[in-house]
Amino acid sequence: MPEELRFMMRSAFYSSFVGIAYWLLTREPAGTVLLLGCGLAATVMFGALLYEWRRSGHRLSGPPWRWVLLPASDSESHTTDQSGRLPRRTLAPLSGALGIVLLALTLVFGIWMAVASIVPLLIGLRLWLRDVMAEFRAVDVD
Amino acid sequence: MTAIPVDQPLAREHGEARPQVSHGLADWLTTTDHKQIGLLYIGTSLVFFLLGGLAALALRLELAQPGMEFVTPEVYDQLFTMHGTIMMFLFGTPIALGLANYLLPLQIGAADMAFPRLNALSYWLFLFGGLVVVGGTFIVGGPADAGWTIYAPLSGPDYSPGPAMDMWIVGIGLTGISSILGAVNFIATLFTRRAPGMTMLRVPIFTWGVLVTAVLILFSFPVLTAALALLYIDRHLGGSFFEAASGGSPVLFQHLFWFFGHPEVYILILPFFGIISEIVPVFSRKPLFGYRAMILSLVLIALYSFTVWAHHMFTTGAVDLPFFSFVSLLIAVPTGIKFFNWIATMWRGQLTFPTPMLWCLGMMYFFLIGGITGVIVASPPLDFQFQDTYFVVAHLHNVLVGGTVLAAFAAIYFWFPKATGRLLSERLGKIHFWTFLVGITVTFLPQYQLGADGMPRRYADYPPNPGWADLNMISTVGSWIMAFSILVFLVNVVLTLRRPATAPDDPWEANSLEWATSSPPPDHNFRSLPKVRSERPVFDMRMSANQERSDA
Repeated sequence: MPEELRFMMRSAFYSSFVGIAYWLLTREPAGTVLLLGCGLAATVMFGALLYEWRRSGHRLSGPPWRWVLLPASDSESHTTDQSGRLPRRTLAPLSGALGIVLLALTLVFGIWMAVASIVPLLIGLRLWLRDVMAEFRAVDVD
Repeated sequence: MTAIPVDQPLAREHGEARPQVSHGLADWLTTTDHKQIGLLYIGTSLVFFLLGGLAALALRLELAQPGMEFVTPEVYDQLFTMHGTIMMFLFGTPIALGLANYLLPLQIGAADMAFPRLNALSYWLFLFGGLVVVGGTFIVGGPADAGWTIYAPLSGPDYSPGPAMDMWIVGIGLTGISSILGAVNFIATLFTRRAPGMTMLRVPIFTWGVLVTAVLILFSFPVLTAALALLYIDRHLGGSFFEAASGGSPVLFQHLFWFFGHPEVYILILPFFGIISEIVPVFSRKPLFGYRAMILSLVLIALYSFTVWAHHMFTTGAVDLPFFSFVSLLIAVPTGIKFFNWIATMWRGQLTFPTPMLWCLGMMYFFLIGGITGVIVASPPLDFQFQDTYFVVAHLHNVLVGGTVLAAFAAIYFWFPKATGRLLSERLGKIHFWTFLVGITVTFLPQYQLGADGMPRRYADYPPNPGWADLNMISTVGSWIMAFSILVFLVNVVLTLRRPATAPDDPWEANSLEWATSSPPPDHNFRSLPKVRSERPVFDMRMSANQERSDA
């Protein structure tokens, strides 16, 4: 099993185990929910990684409850992109972040901040989509 | 330093001009390059560090003598709130993210982060979020004053009315979202962009530290965001999550805050443990002792950090003392493994002590004091004695200044030539180090005694009890020595940047992949990559070049 899968699986196992033990010891709901939430989050990440790994033709041996004991296989990055393709310079992140911040400040200063956020948000979104579409086209050409 | 010949850098032909760090404003505003974004993070967090430091100087001036009236009690509350907030959220976390941004793709042989535009968005959200928090200073009534922990009900509508607390909530919420986006990017980059041969068990320890930190961020920051959202609902939408009078629970806020807050301490430490693990072997001329044990201890510290949050809440009477005390004490074991391995790495090595190595040794010394006093306050009977006293202040600062700040300076001195092509002055660096070392000692050691004597924290004044005035004066003098030290650092940086870029591409004869490219690296980071056959690819490259020379 690749090290990253093992890392996430053991994190999920640990958080879930401690969450259950914590509930049995303390009956305290807030901490139990938080610990089990961590276990669930790690399980989701493990599932996503496992899905990618299986898509590349690999399989884990044995039943799932034994996976936690599998040794690490020091494997390579299985989705490596060595194309070296880099995005061009763009104002999209700056403009988008400005829009998000102005929108969030609506919570403090009222609705007119939301109005002020529309222009930078739209500019950011448009530039972002334009760049993404251009990159998709470049990949198609390749 | 042992003279091992260095190969020609892979990204630069002999005599070829060195790539330039971009200087135009438009370049910085529109960049998606991880190196520039990393430098933006580091530069911005250092500016916030200076602001937080100025607040600390004002706090220490107010406490220099009993009866001082340098600032009013209200301003004092605002100052310690902003000092803590800035240092935790706007300096400690982002400087770690900045170093990770700059180094992670280089260390794994990638051309950039997995999501370069998202990376830029993370930085701008952090910057604007930070400005919103600090911007509270400029509104009527001044910034938030409920402490960096913003406990409810102190931060609720009754005790903190007005927009300052709302700006704190929105600003920190935005920086939290920025950190979450950054964490997703780091994990995706490490899992999908590693160079051929760079297996997970050959990844440098710093990058492992970033991975573990990113997972901590992913699991802890959403809890903070949720707590802030609930607090906002209590303040403005008639909620009563944390209002005891309406059936809510202030202790619930503490649970949520510390479920974020304690992992946050490790978010501030683990990347810097990685930095020490990178630098010490280079100046010991030995491989890192116990590479796999170091990874295991990183992971164990992270896992344990999620099970100790309520040791901050021992005195509430609402938590299970044996459980949290036991797990808090348990964290000392993986931390001890790290210290043992660093010492074993240095043992019988060919040690040299340039400035980065001095900062590493300083970090080990001060963090060790912070760690040991952490074991003390993990014991409930002692914690009941020290809760909310200067003992806890001294412990926290020994951990965070000792751990984060000293290691951050180690990183800056070590990787400055990689980022700029210039070596910082060794003479000024050593003045910086020793004055900082004296400053941190003189500032924080007296605070342990003050805490043991019962002096409470977060008070603008104190009675003239025997010894308190002297210890406070010594602590204040120490803070000004640290301020002088930072001034020396700034002079060093400015003078160095005005000099031509003449540093070799690998001035330290280091081990990890970033030293295989030019200084500063080109846009795509590498022209070609050396074969990665171990966790020290550049060392392997030097050795094979030496072998070829001797064979010839």
